[in-house]
Formats: sequence, structure tokens, C-alpha cells
Amino acid sequence: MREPTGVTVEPRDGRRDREADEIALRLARAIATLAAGSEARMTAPVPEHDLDRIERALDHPLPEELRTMLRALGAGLYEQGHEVLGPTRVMIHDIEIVPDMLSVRARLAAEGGLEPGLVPFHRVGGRVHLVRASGPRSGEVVSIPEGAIYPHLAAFIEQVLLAPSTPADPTP
Amino acid sequence: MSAMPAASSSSFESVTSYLGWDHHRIGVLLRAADDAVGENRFADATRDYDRFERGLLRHLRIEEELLFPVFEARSGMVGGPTSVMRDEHRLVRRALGLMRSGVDAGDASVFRDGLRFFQSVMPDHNAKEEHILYPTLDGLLTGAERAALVARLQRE
Repeated sequence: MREPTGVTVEPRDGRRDREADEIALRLARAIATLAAGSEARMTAPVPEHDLDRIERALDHPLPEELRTMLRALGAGLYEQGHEVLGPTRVMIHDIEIVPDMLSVRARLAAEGGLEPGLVPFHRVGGRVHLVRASGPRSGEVVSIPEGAIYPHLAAFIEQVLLAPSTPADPTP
Repeated sequence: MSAMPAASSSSFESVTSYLGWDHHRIGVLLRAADDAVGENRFADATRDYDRFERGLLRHLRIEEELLFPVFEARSGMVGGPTSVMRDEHRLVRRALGLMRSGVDAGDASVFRDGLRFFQSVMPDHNAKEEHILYPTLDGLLTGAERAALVARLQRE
């Protein structure tokens, strides 16, 4: 299906039913809304070869919804301090603005808080959100520290990235 | 115990002001843990020490991962001040290990050994950062770069 952003979203493998179509449509709409955001942001769309590279590093595929979002909008710094993590760091000159997902994943693993198959893709206010990349709940979004669980990326974008938010507390 | 210094996300316009504030915040957390140890309130000491240790380790990490590389790139000084700071961070981490074992064992004397070690390093270390390293880095950045870096440090 094709949405106004030009983003093409295919339903997940084996789930070409009405529910999958509806989720895909919600994702496309959420991406379109983010793309139309009025505030300045620093993001860079992620090329296909970088997505393939990170899948090789992770040794499993990324959920298709995340690939879609990273391809369409990219990793980087969004409004209200939301950081979307991608295959590479986002830099201004020599200053790191947003870390890459493998670095964040390595840190979480070192701290002992990372289940296999979880891929960190978003941070805000000291909370990291991770997408489940395998198993029966593949596509689900969870967080460290533990918090709300979102059934899929579209719901996460609607309720977190597009939600009106309060400024982050600088005290960690 | 001193009050925790107030801050908002827009309070800081420089690396010096943000990380100087963070030094003070971490010092307040340590004093709370120290007070609790002194009064044999080890449950409170553990809670307060956890907060202090988490805050300090984060502070060391953001300096090593985000700040020092930029300082080195901009100043051209790779083996100089940042090398000394990294060496002192190693000493600080050793002191943290000692204090942690004292808190975990409910042993005030081990905690105090660690605290003495910590205090033999940290005040001078912080002073060098606040009076030399941070202001130098602030001076090496444009206004926009400084704002981006300070915002990044706060998000970490």
C-alpha cells in the first residue's frame, strides 16, 4: 500500500490479513505525521546497505516495521529530545549527537539488562525502547527500565513519538 | 545535607556549567551516603550510594565517550590533559569499588578507606576539569556546537 509520504509498507510475512494491513496503514500514517513535523530535527534516512549490515551484526533480521521507519525517516534527533537509533552514529562535525544502536545494545548487554532478540531503537529521558526481533511476539516494543509495552511500532510511534510531551528532566 | 541543586533542561549554556553542576549534584549524593554510613543506617546508605555511584559512573562515561574525543580533536592534544583525566578516572573507579564493598558489607571502616582514597583524587580532579578542561573546550566550540553538545550530554 502507498501512503502520501511515498512510503510503501508491506504487511509482515505470513500476516496478510486485515489486522496486518491495518497495522501497516497505521505505521504509514504515523510516519507521514512525523515527516510533516514542524520543528527542526536532525535525522538522516538509512540506506538499505546499512540496514543489511546491522542485520549481519545482530545475526537476525530487523522487524520490517523498523526497517520501514529507518528507511523513510532515518535515525537521529527528533522533537522533544527523542533519539531514534540507527546503524551509525549521527554526528555534527566531530560531536556525537545520537549514538548507534549497536553501541547502545552493547552497553545494555554489559549492564546485564538485555534479553536476546531485543534491538534498542529509541531513547528519551533515560528510557530505552527496544523492539523484539524474533519469537511469537516479534515486533512488540518494550523498554528498559521496564514500562509500557506496545504491540507494534505503529502504536509506539502514535503514543510516544507523536504524543505531546514534557521536557526531559536533566537529572539522570 | 545540602539540597540537590535545581536545574531545568534549559539551565545550561556551556559544558562548564552543566558538568560543574553535575559534580555538585554527585557530591550531594555522596554526602547523603556518607551521613547514612556514619549513623549505621546501611539500608539508607545502600540506596544513597547506588544513586551516587550510578551518577558518577554516568559522568565518567559521558566524559570519556563524548567529551574527551571532541577535546582531543579540537585542541590537537591527544596525550595531554585527557590522558591525565582518564588515569584519574581509573583511580576514582578503584575508590568506588572500595566504598561499594564497605556499603555492601555494612562495614563503615572499609567504606571510609574508600572515601579517603576517593577524596585524595576527586577534588583536584574536579577543579582541573572545571577550571581548565571544560572552559577550554567551551572556547573551542561554536555556540551551536556547544549547545548541541550540552544537550547531548544531558540526554545521555
